[in-house]
Amino acid sequence: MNNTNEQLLPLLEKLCEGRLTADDRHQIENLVRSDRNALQTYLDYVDLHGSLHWDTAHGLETEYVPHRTASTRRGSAVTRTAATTPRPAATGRRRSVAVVIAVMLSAITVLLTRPDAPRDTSGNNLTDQAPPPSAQPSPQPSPQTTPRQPSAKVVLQALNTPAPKSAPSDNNRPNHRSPEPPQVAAPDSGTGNPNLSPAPQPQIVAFINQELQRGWTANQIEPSATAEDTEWIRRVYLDIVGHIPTATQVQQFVSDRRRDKRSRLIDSLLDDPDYVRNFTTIWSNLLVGRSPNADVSKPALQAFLSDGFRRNRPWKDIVFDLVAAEGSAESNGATNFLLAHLNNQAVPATAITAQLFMGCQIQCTQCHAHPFNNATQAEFWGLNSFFKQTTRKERFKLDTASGKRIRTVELVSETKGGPTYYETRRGLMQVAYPQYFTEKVNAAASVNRRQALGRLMTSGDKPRVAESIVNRMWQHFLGHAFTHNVADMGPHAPVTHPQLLDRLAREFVRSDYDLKQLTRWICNADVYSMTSEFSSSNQADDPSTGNQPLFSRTYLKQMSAEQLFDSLVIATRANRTVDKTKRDGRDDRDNWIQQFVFDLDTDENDEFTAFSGTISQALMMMNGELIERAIGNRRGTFLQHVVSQPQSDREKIRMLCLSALSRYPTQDEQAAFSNFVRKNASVGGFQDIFWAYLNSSEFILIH
Amino acid sequence: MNDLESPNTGNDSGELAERPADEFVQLFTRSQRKLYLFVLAMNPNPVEAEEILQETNVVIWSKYRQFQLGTNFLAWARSIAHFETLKFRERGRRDRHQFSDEFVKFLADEATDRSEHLEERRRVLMSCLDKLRDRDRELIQHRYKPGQSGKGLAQDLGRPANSVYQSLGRIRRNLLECVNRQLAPEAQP
Repeated sequence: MNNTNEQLLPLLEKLCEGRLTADDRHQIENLVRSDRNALQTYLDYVDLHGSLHWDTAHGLETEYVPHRTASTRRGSAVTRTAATTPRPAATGRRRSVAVVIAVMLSAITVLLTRPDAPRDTSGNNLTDQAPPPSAQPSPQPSPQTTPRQPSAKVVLQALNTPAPKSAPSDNNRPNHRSPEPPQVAAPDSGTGNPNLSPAPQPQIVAFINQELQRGWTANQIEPSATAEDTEWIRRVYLDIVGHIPTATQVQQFVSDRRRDKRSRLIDSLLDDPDYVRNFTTIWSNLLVGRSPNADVSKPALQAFLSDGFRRNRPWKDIVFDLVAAEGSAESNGATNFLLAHLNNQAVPATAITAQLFMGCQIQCTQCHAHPFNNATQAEFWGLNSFFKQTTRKERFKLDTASGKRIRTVELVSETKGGPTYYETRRGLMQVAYPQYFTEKVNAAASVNRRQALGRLMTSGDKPRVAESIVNRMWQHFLGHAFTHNVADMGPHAPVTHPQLLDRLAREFVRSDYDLKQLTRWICNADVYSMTSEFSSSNQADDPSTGNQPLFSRTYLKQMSAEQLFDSLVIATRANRTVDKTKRDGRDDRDNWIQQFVFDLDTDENDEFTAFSGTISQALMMMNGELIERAIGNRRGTFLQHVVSQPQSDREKIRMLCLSALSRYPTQDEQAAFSNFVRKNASVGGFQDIFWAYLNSSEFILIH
Repeated sequence: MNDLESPNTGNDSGELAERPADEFVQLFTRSQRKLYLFVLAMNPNPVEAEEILQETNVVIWSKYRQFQLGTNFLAWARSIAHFETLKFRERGRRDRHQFSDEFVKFLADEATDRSEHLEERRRVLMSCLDKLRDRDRELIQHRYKPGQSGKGLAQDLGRPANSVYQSLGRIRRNLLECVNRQLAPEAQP
């Protein structure tokens, strides 16, 4: 920093706080006029000051979302700018802009549409006319006593393996038994035969309960109480199908008297098309990110993922396809994962493959040995070497209909062999041959390396792929993984419940990598039914303070941008205010989400989402066009529906709360809001109440 | 300009015979932040800059027929904003501590020249905010809440004003340097 800047910066700091004297002002003028450096610093500094001011006052402006290519801009600008139009009433100091904005808003013709076009074909589950999932008659007795596994599998298991030593005799309250010694690794551990069936569900659920109980006892805490139905149903909807339940679904669930209604709901949500959509979104974001990328066909990738989740394909097959895929971006959706990350000598591909599927953080070993674990630079490049044959090919095809040349991108494995070269920190050139941990692979040209990698990754009785996905799913449902960072497992990363992770990973392999089954195990465990609130004695179980999670309650989670969007639509029926023929629904959600996404230009193709819990999110919620529309008194919105019903104000308030938060209002809320509505009798009063509920932190959290 | 008062907020019935093209509305909406920051370079008081922006907006909106789609909207809008900034100063009620007219003109030109670079910086700023320590980020967020000032923040926190000024200065400087750092490699060929 040069001398003029050292003089200038303190002055600029004063300027930002409105503390400049006339002398100071002259001095700034002199410095800035006499020195280009100072001029730049002045402009940059004031711009920073103004950006901070503007962003917090107006919410994030969207034109700063970087686009990799112009072609990805498509017609999205209208929606995005519309969504960021400030809602003047909220800031209260822009009255004259308000007039201008109001004219603008009415001029903007792009409206919200249903966020999910494909769903239209499969049912109307975004509406609450759909029968509640738990209403399907089922002769099945309680899962507490009967395994949900197909009985053939159970028999097979009984024939092939000794009964697990840990089989609890007391299925009813397994979590309140005295803790047992950790004797319970999978019965066939070490035999390496993954072709066995997993233990029946009640056994595994009981095992989870028992392992967690041991931790509680050792730490002398009592778990939290069982969650109310209202808390639980919201959580299970958000976790499995990615959005909140409708008011009607909550009411029906609460009034359902069957003892096993929670277990039934888990099952029916797993069969819901939105389960497929939710996990497709989650994995699409993990695999290629949310930012647009011209070389990637996101629809094709999502079609590949949807198909996998819909058919409940074994996770190892999905992973294998993603790692070993060949062909064009459009025709083979799985290729898009690597197409997105082949840049920079496939360093991102190497690092992200390791993170997502193997739960290891190896990107820093690209340049130097890992500071905390034993991974070395050689291992990184050994893994990288698997991608050496892989290239991206662009082809042009003639579209016979239009006569235009259409660009297609393909992922191709060339038949070439040999090592990968890399430089050590001292500048020495080194070679690396394909090697997956200790397994070396023939480096000949004839060997397809990615297929070899895919096979290595997904074989064995407890491959990293299994451990990693179990850890990820555990985190997805319970808010924390068994390790501090879900993408950083290994000898250096302590595991909170090693026996439990080990057993779940092995059983998952034996279930043939059945993701729905894994979900049932976790969601039927006692911990998932507990409230997120503390009990009298488990205050210490708070991972946000840095303590190791003990899973004596479920931890709060932040909604993702997609969950928030879909939940807003469910709560408010904003989608019904729209002309459905105008646009296809998916674009709207994507465009809305693009406001929060920024690329980080790092070696790992990171991107940054300015979403979770940030001020830009909060402001978007308060001022955005979506909210504007959703709580406007337009025909079709939930608000309009409730307000126009012939019912008491009290009941109207109840319905608004139920729709937004899946619970009934507390007495305090009811009292305060009834009072408020008496004073603000018009629709506006209810509008304000609904707005307040939707903007509460309770709305954006998963409890 | 006051003819703008008539179409009031409740109007979404769609009878808008006299209205700018959608494209104009988009350009207008998207230019808001850029215009604001442009005005701020000339008049570095965030609240006054907002007032100037409002007046600029009213003029832009009333003159939308004069704008030809396809020409440079931002350049057109900037010239209006520059003019409105000078007008604002002329009103005299804020005559204290003003930059000279010459200097304002100089800044307008320089800010225009640097606008693309400033855009880059605004984009990077988001990731720099994210890199701040939590405590610092919270402090900055509090400071820039609508209507807040460093002084008010100090009162809210029960800390001496000077120490809060110092913290804010330090954090802003960190952000400035973070943005510089992030953009440094790109600046080189």
